[in-house]
Amino acid sequence: MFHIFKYTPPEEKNDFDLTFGNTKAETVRTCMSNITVSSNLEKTLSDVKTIIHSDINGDIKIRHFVCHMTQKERRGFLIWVDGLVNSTLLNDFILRPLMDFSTKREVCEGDDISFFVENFIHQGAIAYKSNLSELVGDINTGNAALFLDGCSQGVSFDIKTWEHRGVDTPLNEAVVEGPHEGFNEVLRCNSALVRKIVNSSDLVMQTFFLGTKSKTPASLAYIDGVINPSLLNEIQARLSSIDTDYVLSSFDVEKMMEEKGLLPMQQILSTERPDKVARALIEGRAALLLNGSSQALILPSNITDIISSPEDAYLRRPYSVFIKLIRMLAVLLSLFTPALYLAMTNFHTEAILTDMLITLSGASHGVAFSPLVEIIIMELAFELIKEAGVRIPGAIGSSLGIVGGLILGQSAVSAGLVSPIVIIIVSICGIASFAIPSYSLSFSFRISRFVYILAGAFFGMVGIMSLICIHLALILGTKSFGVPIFVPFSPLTSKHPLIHALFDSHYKVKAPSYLKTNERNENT
Amino acid sequence: MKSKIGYRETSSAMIIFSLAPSVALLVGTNSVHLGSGAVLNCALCFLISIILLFSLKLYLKKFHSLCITDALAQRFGTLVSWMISLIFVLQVFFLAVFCVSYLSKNIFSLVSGNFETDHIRLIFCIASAICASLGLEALTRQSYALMYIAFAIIALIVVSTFQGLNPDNLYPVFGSSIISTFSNCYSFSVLSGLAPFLLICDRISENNAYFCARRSVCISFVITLIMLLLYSLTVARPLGSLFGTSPEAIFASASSGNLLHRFELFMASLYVILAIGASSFALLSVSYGIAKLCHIEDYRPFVLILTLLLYNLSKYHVHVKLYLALCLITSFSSIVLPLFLSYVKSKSRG
Repeated sequence: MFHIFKYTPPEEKNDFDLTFGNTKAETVRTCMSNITVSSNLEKTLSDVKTIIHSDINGDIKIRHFVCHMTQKERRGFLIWVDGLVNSTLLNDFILRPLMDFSTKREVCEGDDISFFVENFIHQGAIAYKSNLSELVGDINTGNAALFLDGCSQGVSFDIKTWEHRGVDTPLNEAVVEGPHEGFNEVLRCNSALVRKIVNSSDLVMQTFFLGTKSKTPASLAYIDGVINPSLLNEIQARLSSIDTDYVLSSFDVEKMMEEKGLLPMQQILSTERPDKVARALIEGRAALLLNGSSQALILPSNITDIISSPEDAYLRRPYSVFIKLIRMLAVLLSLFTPALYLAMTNFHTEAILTDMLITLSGASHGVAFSPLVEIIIMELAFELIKEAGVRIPGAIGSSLGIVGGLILGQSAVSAGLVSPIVIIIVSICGIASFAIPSYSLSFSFRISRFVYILAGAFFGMVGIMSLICIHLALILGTKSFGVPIFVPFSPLTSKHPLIHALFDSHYKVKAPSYLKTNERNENT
Repeated sequence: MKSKIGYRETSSAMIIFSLAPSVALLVGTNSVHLGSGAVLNCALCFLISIILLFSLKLYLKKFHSLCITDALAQRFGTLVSWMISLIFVLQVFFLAVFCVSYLSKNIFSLVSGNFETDHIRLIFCIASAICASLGLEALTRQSYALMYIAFAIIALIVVSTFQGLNPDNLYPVFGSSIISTFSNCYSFSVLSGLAPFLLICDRISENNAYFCARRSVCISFVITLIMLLLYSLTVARPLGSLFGTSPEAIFASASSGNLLHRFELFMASLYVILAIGASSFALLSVSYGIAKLCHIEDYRPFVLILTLLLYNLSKYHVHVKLYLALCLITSFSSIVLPLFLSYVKSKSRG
């Protein structure tokens, strides 16, 4: 009976637990990163198999071959990733010449791998490398690696041909007039599109490999002699300082290069139009093109770039100015309309005309919620419709917009949940937000609008004006690669900033003064 | 590529700082004693500003673009400089206290019925603290952007007041008696812009410093004069019954057609802009001055402490006369005192 007093400790279970630190795999990887190509082919093959995990990797192919020389036989192997290379190029212009070696030449005078490549392989883009992990790493980007027995170097052949989109109309920056070419996800295709437009021997496409593991190729485009050297140095320094394992898209780079990550305002402009990039390069900016991303980053950017549409450059001056003014109005409407409505109706009713006040009062009669709750409900509903519209396929998406906009709104008014005025306010605000050309800026205003709504609802005009002061200080203190984001307005870099902002795209394309480009310096 | 603070931005910051108390005093106080020697008051104010500007020029010539704490430390040793600088910093801080206190009271009178004065003060303090902690560059640029908004509102008010123009008030505007003229010297507040400017002097170039001060004094003077004249002229009542009129009476007499039915809203907006601009500039100057005194590189920790003090001190409404005295003492002591001490020291050595 004493067993009830006896304590038996619980059995220790071997729970799964993540271990940290330098594991065996990590140690092997570290060792392999420094290994060089061995002249012993067996050893090289063994190392390669270790690096590529050949026992479990299904898409990496290794092809052994023998070169029949007059005096001796030379063994070798090729390695590539299935689906990333052009098999015709691989078979006909690399493998076939190597295997038909003896038929073409009777005497072989060189043992070096360059002898084989220079004399028999019909392939343009090659690179000799001694580092084994670099050679094997190249195959992930569509290269094939060649190793020969007795050679302490390998060769990487650029024969990439993977499936990709063609040059298509840019979806988010479509224009009525002007070119309809847009970037795709292939770096060299994108750089060719830019080079085709700029057509200058001074155009430089400096290559960077971003990400310590992904080594994603990126091209920093700029026009030598136009760009400010200190700006270029700063961009190069920031690109070099990116310390991350993987860079998958240009947005990853944008996030890492921004000066203020938490500021609700974009500091780098992204575009999918080569003509916009070309225009920026001519103005003395730089552009970053990244492999696998259809968006190029324009560095630096300012407020006039962000609120300008690509179509502005292709419209006649009166039309373009009118559209720009409408867009500026849209920015103000999108940000302030609900907040001003709440401030006026809650605190400053004396500032509203008597007739209008009676109308407003009549419209909100019998509504269950306060104006703040009404606005919040409708804004959230609008955001939900927007978000759902993005996720749902095209045909159903438009139906959802109609259902959300008409039926839901009408039903909400009929049910006495919201007043018709609020529906109008939220609709104006929503339409205005769609008129903002930059998706990122529109997003930033969507978030800021809620803060303004709360400020207007709780503190009236005092709250709104205070928030404007804070918002302005936040934005105006921000720089994009040393250039204040609100130029040419603040600091004033032009005598007529509004004219500069409205008419800029119609003047001769030249560098703005705030970029302090070389051409500007020479002129002054 | 580090961009410097331009003279336009610095001038804007100084103008905003100068205008805030002026406008507050005009509406809050001068409306009650309106019309007594407004032009003479402004002229007197301008004269004193010119003397101060001349002193500032001498200061900058002697101490270059050193801020006042550094200049004092360089010339008179640590202890003396610490004591004088601390007094100076405290004076500037009280200017900020006045701004928040007086403007929040005036805004309360404009939007009365829906707000507590404490709430308005709280909003001012929070906004000023955030703006000040963003740094001088952001603040000056913000001031420059706010200038456009402030001028637009001033223009709107000017247009609105035309309807209530009363030519009978011309006589008192040019001065009814010497005593009443001097008793209404409320426009001295334009001088207050120079004082905090000296604390941040070493962050802007020497050439900018004097140019900005001169420009801000001139513009502030002109704006104050226009506002003063307009307020005087638009009081819609017969001569002799100028005293005891509240600002609301003036507002009620003004109208701008059917669209802008009442402009208290715009007036309140102008107050908010000026109050936040002025108090954040003062907060930044004071915290920067204290950081300099304590030999601390980062001034931002002081902003929070000073904001708490500002909130609590602005609860007690500072009397206008006390503020004016403070303005004068601060402005004179900041510029004239180092010069005077420097002169005395050089003489004693000689």
